[in-house]
Amino acid sequence: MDAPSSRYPAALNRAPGIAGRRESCGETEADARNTKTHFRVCRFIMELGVKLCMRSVPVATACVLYHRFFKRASVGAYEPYLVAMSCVYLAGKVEEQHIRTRDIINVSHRYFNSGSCPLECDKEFWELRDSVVQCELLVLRQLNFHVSVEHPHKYLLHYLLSVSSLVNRHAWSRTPVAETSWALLRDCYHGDTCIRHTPQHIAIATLYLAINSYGVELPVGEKEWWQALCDDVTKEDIDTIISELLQLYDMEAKCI
Amino acid sequence: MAQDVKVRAKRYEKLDFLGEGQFATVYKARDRTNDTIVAIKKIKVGHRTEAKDGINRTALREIKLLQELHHPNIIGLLDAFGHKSNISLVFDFMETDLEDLKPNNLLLDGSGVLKLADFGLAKSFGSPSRVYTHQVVTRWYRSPELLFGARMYGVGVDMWAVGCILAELLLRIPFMAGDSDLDQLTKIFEALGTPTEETWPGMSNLPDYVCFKQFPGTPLEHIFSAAGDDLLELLEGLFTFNPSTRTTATQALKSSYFSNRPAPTPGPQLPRPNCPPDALREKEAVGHKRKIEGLDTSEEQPLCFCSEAPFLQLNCGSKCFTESC
Repeated sequence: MDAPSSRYPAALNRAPGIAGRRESCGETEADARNTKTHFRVCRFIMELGVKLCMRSVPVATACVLYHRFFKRASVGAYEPYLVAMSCVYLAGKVEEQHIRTRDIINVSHRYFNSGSCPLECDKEFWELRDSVVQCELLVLRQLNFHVSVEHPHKYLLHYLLSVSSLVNRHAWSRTPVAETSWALLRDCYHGDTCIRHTPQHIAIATLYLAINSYGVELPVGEKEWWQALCDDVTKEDIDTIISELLQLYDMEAKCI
Repeated sequence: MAQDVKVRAKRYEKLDFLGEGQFATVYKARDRTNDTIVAIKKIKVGHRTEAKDGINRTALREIKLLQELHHPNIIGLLDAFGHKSNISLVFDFMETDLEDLKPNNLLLDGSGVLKLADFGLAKSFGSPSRVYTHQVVTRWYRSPELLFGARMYGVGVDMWAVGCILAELLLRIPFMAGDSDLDQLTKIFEALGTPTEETWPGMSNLPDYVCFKQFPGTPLEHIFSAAGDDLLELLEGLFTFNPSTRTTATQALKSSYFSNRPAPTPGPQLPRPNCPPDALREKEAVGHKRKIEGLDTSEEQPLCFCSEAPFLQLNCGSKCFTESC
């Protein structure tokens, strides 16, 4: 599989040697197709998450497991929706919010056949269940059992608290920076941004985009606010992540 | 990838069967890549119904936590691999036998370093007010709040278990060996006296609270007749009924027992199973000087071999407690 950075021109700024060449011919068609597939499948994971009443973190973990899997395996070799179902199942175990295979199968069945009745407990159901369980072990083996994930959520919460204390209370309550940055964070799991950057950098970038979108002004000090919150993040890192995020929103329009 | 799995399974050469527990079978094996001896814990797939649920949650928890934990006193997870529905975990090989916090899960490596094993039931510790299950910790090492069904508990349950292990090292038999949860509480109260709302506020509000007969308890110095005052003080703190005033790990480490003489025996000089004491003495002559917080421990008291249970004796170090010594 190609290096993941080949998908995002913005990310290539860091490695100018390869960047020049790749940028001229743009994303390959296959890459673009894969990105679209993963976007759709992650949208499916998130919908499952909502319908199965999962908390944000297990859903995010399911997406990370999915992206880690397809970083190592080709989309052609494994059915991405089955992998996604197994990732949801596994993420439930990893994050201690256990979800039953039966519920995952029923909700998925409804997703693919809207308005249809739930599957009977027949051969088809049991085969599907076996596939989900087998595929869970496949995911585990492919990831060498590395299933722990550190998410940006806790960092974002911490940064939000720090930033809000720097801003006029009334100005802060008029702008939905917290809600927006949280939504941006949730959306970034549609792509592989979540496995290519540190959780701290992702949290800073989503907060940066939210703050700039609403034109919230922060007091100017010796350091930029984001440098004060996270000492190893550069403006380039932030720009890269934001550019990846914007590409995802662009992708949304293409994936209806 | 399928080939990768085959290669990895061939990496280990099975040498010996080491033991079998409720959830796993343990083998001694050789890692062909670097010719080291390892222990492989093969998780039992269990009943057909269980196998249908995919990876065992307990096994997954253990793998996850061991991947994150790196500590000289925690058993090292070297590798994990799976074949079909089997999961195998590869650990450092320990000289003592393999299987919560109880003596069976305390292992010693070749240089006498203590390692904790079996994190199957551990959950990462989040907010102290998180709701946990009360069915944790092998009964004999279970604290009274767990036995009364507490769902909100903290590190105090581990400190109680530490107290039970310490007591077992002194007695060479489990201190309070109950055969049911109620019997366990009876054993605890017989030994330590029945707590009251005064000594343990909130006790009677616990979910499974039952009123017990008022036992007066036995003074600890009568139970542990050879233990010094410093050690009795430590035990007293660990066996505090009220979890919020029970001795913490930090407080325990600061207790005078750990700084009073005699100092503990350095790990490499500890006797081990199938290792005659003379060989160890020779090792000792090579000279292991160790300093703990500025305290020179090189002047060791002679080791005392008075126990038939070598493992327990190891943990006592050079301190000797029974009157027969």
